[in-house]
Amino acid sequence: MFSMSMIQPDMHSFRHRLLRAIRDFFDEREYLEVTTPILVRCPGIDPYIDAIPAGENFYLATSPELHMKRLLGCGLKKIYQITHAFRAEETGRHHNCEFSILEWYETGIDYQTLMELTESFIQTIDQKMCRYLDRDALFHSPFPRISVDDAFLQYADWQPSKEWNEERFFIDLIEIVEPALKNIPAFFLYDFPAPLASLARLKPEDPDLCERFELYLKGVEIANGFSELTCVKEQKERFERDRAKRAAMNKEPYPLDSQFLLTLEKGLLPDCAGIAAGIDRILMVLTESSDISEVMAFPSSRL
Amino acid sequence: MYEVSDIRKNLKIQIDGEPYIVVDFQFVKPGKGNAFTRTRLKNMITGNVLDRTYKSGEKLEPAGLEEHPMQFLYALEGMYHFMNTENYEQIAMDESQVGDARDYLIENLNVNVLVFNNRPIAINLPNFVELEVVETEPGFKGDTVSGGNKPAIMNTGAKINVPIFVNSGDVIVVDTRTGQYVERAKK
Repeated sequence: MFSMSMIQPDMHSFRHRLLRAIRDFFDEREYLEVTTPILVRCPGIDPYIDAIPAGENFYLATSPELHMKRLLGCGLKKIYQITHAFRAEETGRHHNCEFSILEWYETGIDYQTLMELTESFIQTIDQKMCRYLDRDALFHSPFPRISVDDAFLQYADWQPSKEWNEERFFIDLIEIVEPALKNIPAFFLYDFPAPLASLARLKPEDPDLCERFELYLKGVEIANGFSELTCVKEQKERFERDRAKRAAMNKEPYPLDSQFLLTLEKGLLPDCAGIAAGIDRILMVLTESSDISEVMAFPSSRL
Repeated sequence: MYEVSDIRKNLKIQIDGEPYIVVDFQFVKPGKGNAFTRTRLKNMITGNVLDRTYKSGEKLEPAGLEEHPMQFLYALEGMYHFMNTENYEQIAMDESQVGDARDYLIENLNVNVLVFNNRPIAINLPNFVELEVVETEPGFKGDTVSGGNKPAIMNTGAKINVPIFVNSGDVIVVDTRTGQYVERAKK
């Protein structure tokens, strides 16, 4: 059957404008736009992110994170990338298994500074897009910053960092905490419990927490940023722990990225912070669409 | 058993021995977390709505629903008696099981009865049934064009708004999905 793009014609130009606005924002701040592979050997080890295999010993990238940090290890200071990422079996109102991702990294800053930068990024693109979308700005400073423990204490009556329970955490997050906060147009949820640190640094003054945040716009999770973990020993332990967890779930454990670990081991990764944002979701929120398939010309349901 | 990835609208599942139909669902996957599917479910017997979140990997029990072609025989002392037209077995349903369908149950009407664990839970009516008007204000002879409706009582006890020109003794076609008058039945 002939499959044509079903989105409204303006959406193509909104996407074009958005990509322009993103590039302008980083060009003005002297970031370098970089390119890393989509076909990778080590897709990253997250217990809940499954890569799409692409032939023997290769996968489609689930995010450009590890390669971008290797570029920081080569001496680059401020980098960004707009690329595609692929995650198996993620399809829904806010998910498409292939999606556009924006990642940026800056050396010498931590997650607090990154939150400020992220806030001005959102405001800048929102204001630019207003002109094309013929409406007022949606997001205004300051974006409230709510710590995970405070949000859970207030709405779910427990403190995740001190009484960790992963299953309870995610159920309460989606059933109680996110719905309670969904009317705040833009906010940061920050200081996640240490078990959810992934590649983030733990807080030196409270190792039960990690220096990680999530940006929500219109109740939709948009971006995940953190102060990067640079300690090779700790990173190896976390990778091994996550591989064991994957194995316990009967999932492929994925190989360790030895080049990334070597970068850490040689002390080449400086203190830095980085963030990944979903471009389709940003476009969805800016155009006030309710389904990601409304902003993609060819989502997986219409290939 | 169904997988969480099988969840879609109108899927019929069983929870604690009760049949539910999926009226809405959403895939959610918080950052660094497991995937979940949030569902809104409607109890097919009571109509109660329930929100439930399923974690990927969980299993859902299909509701063992069967549809049987049946003929309505008669109503007696609050019980409605039907005959299965395939095996001629007879069953009886009470008022609550029959629900709003009672307005359209005329003798010998062919319906489909939804059966859950050998228990009849709902009646699927034909879209149109013919009912006889037993009581209504007299109409004006020949007036088939002017607008306006009046209440009428049918041979099943149902109250239907009919056009002015319809009289007692007329047989009319009623849409069972909307409860509205369609036309006078052809003689």
